[in-house]
This record gives sequence, C-alpha cells and structure tokens, in this order.
Amino acid sequence: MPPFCKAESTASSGVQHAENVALTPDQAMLLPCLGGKGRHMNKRYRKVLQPRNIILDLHATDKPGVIAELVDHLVSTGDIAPQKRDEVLAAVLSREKRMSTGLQHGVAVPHGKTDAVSDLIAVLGRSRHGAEFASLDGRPAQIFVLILSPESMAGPHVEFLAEISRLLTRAEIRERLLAAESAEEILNLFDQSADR
Amino acid sequence: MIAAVTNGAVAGPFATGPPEVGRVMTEVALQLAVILIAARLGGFIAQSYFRAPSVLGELAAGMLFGPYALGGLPLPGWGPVFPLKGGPLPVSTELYGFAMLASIVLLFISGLETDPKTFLRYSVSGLAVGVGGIVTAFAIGDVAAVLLGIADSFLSPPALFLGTVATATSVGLTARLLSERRKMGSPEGVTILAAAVFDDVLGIVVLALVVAVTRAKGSQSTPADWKHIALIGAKALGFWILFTAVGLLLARRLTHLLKRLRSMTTIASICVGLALLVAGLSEMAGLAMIIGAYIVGLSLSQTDIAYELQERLRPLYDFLIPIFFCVMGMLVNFFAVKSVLLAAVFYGLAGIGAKIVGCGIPAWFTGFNLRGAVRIGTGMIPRAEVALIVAGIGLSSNIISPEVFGIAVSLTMLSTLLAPPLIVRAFQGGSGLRVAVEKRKEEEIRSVSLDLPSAELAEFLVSRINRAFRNEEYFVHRLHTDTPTWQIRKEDISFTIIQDDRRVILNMPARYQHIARFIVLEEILNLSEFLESVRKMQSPEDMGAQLLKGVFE
Repeated sequence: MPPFCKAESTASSGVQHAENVALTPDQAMLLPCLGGKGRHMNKRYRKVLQPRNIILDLHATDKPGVIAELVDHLVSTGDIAPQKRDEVLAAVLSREKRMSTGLQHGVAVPHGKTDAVSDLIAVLGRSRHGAEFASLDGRPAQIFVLILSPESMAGPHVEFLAEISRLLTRAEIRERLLAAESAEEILNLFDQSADR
Repeated sequence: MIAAVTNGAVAGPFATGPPEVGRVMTEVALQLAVILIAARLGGFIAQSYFRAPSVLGELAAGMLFGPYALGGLPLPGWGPVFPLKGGPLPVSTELYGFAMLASIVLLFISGLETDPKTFLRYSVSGLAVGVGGIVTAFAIGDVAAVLLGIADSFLSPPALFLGTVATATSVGLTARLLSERRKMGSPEGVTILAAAVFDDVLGIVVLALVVAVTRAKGSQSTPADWKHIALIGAKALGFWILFTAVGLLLARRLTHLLKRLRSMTTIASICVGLALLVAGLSEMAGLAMIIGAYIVGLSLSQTDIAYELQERLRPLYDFLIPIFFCVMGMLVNFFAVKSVLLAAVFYGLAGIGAKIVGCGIPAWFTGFNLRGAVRIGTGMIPRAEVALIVAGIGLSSNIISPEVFGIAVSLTMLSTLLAPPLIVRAFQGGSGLRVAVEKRKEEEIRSVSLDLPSAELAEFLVSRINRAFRNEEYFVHRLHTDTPTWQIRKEDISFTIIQDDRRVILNMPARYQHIARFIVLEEILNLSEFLESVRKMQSPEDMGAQLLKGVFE
C-alpha cells in the first residue's frame, strides 16, 4: 500500500477502501482537473427519462417480477419491440446473476447491455410496499431505475447509471420521490438533486 | 548511385521550374539527410559514451557538420553540402524554416504540457521562485552584456537579448533527472515544476516585450523614444493577454466542435494548424512566432484532449527536435566565438549563477532550508530550446552579431553540461524544508485499491478498465512514470489508475467517484465472467498439441 493510502482493509473481498486520503504532491498533481461544475451530465436524464417511462406503482414483489414489469412497460410504450422483450429480459437478469444491482436505502439500478436497443433507454419504477432485491443493506428496494444500453455502441452508459444513482443518494430526495404524486414531480426532484 | 539520384532530382521533377529550384531542393534534401543522421548519432554518442543529455550531442553534431566546419568543405561534383550563406544566418532560409517549424511545434507542446492547476496549487513558492529567477537572470544577462563590452547600455538590443536568453529555464532536463530518482514529488521537485510554469509564461512575456521593443528601435534611425517603446510594449502585452483570454475561453467550445470530426489525427492536425495560424498572427503583430504557438498550446492544455494531442504530436516532436538543435549548432561561428571565448564562459557561468541565486533566495524565504534552496536553484539552471530560439531570433533579425550568438549558445551548452551533476549532487541528503511546512489543503480524493492474485491479471484488468473508460468516451493517457499510471479524463473529470504489481489503485475526486466506481465494478464483473469462460476452454494441452503437430507436417 502506498504511504498516502490510509486504508481500512476488508480482507475477504480483497478490496481496500481508503476514504479522504491525503495525496503526496506528485500524486495530487496527477489529478489536475478536480472540481468543476459537472457540466458533462447536462441533465441527460431529462432526455432519457421521459414522464411516460415513470411507473408510480409497481405491483411485483420480487426481483424477477419487478424487472419483468419494468421491461414490459418499455414494450408497452414502444421503446422495445415486443419480439425483443425476452432478449432484453435475459440481458438484465444475466447481469443481475453476476451481482445484484440492489444498492442501499431502497434504491436498485438493474441494467443490461443488449443490441435489442439502439440507444440508451431507461425506466423508473416505484413500489409502495417494496420488493426483495438482494440489496447491499439487505433492505427491500422501493425505487428502481432500469437502464438498457446497446452492446455494440460506445457511449457514456455506465456513467449515466452512476449519475442516476448519485442523484438518489440524498435521503430527502428519496423520501420526496416516494411521496410524489406525478411523474413530472419525480423529474423535478432529480433536477433539484442535480442542481445541488 | 547518389550522383544518379541527385542528377535525376535536378533534371526530373523540377525540370519545368527554374533550374535553381531543383538545386535548392536537392541541397535541402541532402542537408536534412546529414542533419537527421548526424543529430541522432550525436545524441546517441552523448548519451551512451559521455552520459550527457542527448541535446549536447545534437548541438555538437550541428557544429561539426555545419557550414563553419565539415559542412563547408566542398564535395567533388557538388560543392559544400552546407554552403555558407550571406546575411545574418549562415544556413539557407529553407533549412532555417525547418528549425522554426520545430520551435513552433516545441512551444505548442510546451504550452500543452503546462498545468495551470499545479501553478495555482504551489503558486506562492512557485511564483516567488519563478519571478526571482527571471528577474535575476535577466538583470545579470543584461549587465554581463554591458560588462563584456557587447552592448553600450542596458537598454541596447544586444543587452536586452542576452538578458532574455538567460531567463528561460527548460525544466525538461531537471524533470527527467528527478523522476529517474523519484524526487519529482518532493516539495523541491513540485516547486521547481510550478516555478517553471511561471518561468515559461513570464519568459514569453519578456521575449514579447524585448522583440517588440528592439524591432521598434531597429525601424527607427533616431534613438527610440520611451513613449513609442511603451506603446509597442503595451501592444505586445495586449496581444498576449487578448489571445490567451480568447484561447482559454474558446478552447473547450472549440474542442467540443472538433470532437465531432471523430478522428484524433484530424483533430491534432487542425490544432497544429491553429498553432501555426496564431504564430503567424503574432509575428504580424510584431512579436515572435513561438509566442502565438505557446498561447494556443496553453489554451488547449485545460481541455480533455490535451494528453491525446501530446501523444499524437510526440512523433512529430521527436522528429523535429534533433533537427532544431542541430541547426542551432550550425549557426555557431567558431571563428567569431574564438575571439569572445572568455566572454562566452563568463556569460554562461553568470547565467547559471543567476538562477541558483535568483531562485534559491525566494525558495529560502518560502520555507526551504539552504539545502532545499540550492536544490531548487540548481533545478532551474538548464536552458535549452527557448534560449536558443531567442538567440536565433536575435541573429536572424540582425539584432545580435554571430559573436553574441555564440556567447548565447554557450549558456545552453554550459548549463546542459553542468546541470545534471549539480542537480544529482544537490538532491542527495535529507529534507530541504526549513520547518515542517503546514500541510497544504488537499483536494478531497478518494482512493480504492484492488488486490488481484497476480500482476498479469492486474495488468489485464487495467487494460479492460481503460477500454471501458474509452467506451464511455473518456480519454485515457499513459503517464511516463516508473509505476504504470494512467490518467483518465473527460472535461472536468480526472481519475488516475496505478498498477503496482498485483495491486490496482484507483484515485478519484470525491465528486465523481461514483462514476469510476460503477465503471470499474462492471469491468470486474465482466472479468469474472471472462475467467469463467476460460475454465470452459478446451484443455491447453490439447491446444498445445494441435499447434505443435503442425510444425512437423
């Protein structure tokens, strides 16, 4: 471990986390462009997440059910061709098999790469009662953002996933999202979180 | 064979043009051939046999094969390869054109490599050291010119030029020596780098002023009046400020547009084109061309394509730089320098002393002890390309004589020769800090390290992670460090990945850590799937047998 890394080791996973480390000057110099206004995201979720792709009440209560419901919604809105439904579902479930995308605090971001879609598409679903999603904190998930991106086309896809997750890190935003009455209200909450 | 080729060239493609065009082009081709081969071999000999920087070998090759030495000897059936030209320059305008192109590319790249953020971070000590070095070196260079009888007053053009030649530190040599010894990250190393940025910028401003003022003086038969000089100086500064401001404001928008062209080669070519364009404009405004090139580089240094540009331009740089130093060596007139040899040595040593004192004292005042101050002072000694470019401008504009040019070159030679042993010696021993300086406010950086079972797997994972970042439209750039390190950039975001044997270390600004974490996580999951598929692979023995069987068929 380099001297700058004050790490706490979680030996079982082989991953070490070092939070708030102080860098030596040369290492700090390697990171010359910190800060900034985060213009890169440019509220891309506004383009990808249309109000029609927001489901206020999901019915499913388990992981496969929630994912299928989200995918079926995209079929019903015409974002996914009906004959591609199974292919898309398989891609998301296969990613889920490798590691659950259930994060913490009731947020899950199932996603998959498949050429059944030609561009980045997303759907947000909310469950009042919550669904078991094998989350990191073991709690049921209530906010789901399903993200699909074409496999053979490069683009800031994982970055989008990361950014959406970041917008949901504030407890206040999550609480208000769960209480929101409309899709537009939910999108406004994202705007507030992004403008922070 | 050579004669046949030569004759063919003369009679062939240029047969329709005036006959002298063919001869001139053939001459340039032969000259470039000699220069490329001699400079490269000279650099190699200097490095391998004398353990000296290759620059010295390239300069020496130029002196040896130039018009004042072997190059001036006639070849049977052709005449001298480097015939001595009349006018201020001993080499042909065509050949000097290549050296100018090299200097434009060089300053463009040096602008690109400038990191204004480092400069701000270590701004206090860096500014003090940079300004101290510039002022002292300029003053000592200027005074030396008068003391040596080269100029009659401190404000006469040769004195101003010798002052300017003495100012510009070329930190490349120091950076290489320090990074070889892992001292680049020391407080002294970082201060030298930051000071070098101020030194570059201020040096260019000084050059802009001196060129403008001396040209204004040259155009007037009567002694220049101060009002006129002030006007010219203001114009030079105005050009510098205007273009730098416009450049910094527009660079991001410009690169955004350029990225639509998709090809980095196309983008790099266009950027060099812009550097040449602004170089031309700056010459038209009465400044030196390199000033324009530096401004364009500086403007682009803060964009996400800066590293990619540097990488693309590296081959062009490697090709042109030996030509530049070799041609500069060719400009040295031994016969003229012989008479001023002592003066040359005096000026060279004065220039070296100026930086040690001029940079060392401010370093001492900003928290370093004597050892640290000497380290910083010696680190700022090397002068190379910029000093030569300045001297070349003086010579080609007839402002300085061949003797003075020789004196100016002596500073480059002496400093390049003496700096490496001095720097190495200075950096031995303990801390260079007078007191434990208070910890500077660091950016909030998060770091994650992943331990892999083997270095090979770590290397593989890093290559996959880099590819994943590229797919997410990031620019990935390998840094020239001992431990494999990559810088990953997109607009405001910058991450670094370090592969230290079996360990992969990811440094991320807290603000953007989620992006890096997600991208790396996805790659690790892909890796585990990949390893799963390897297990399903046909047995390696069978594959090996299949491959070997074919050998005897």
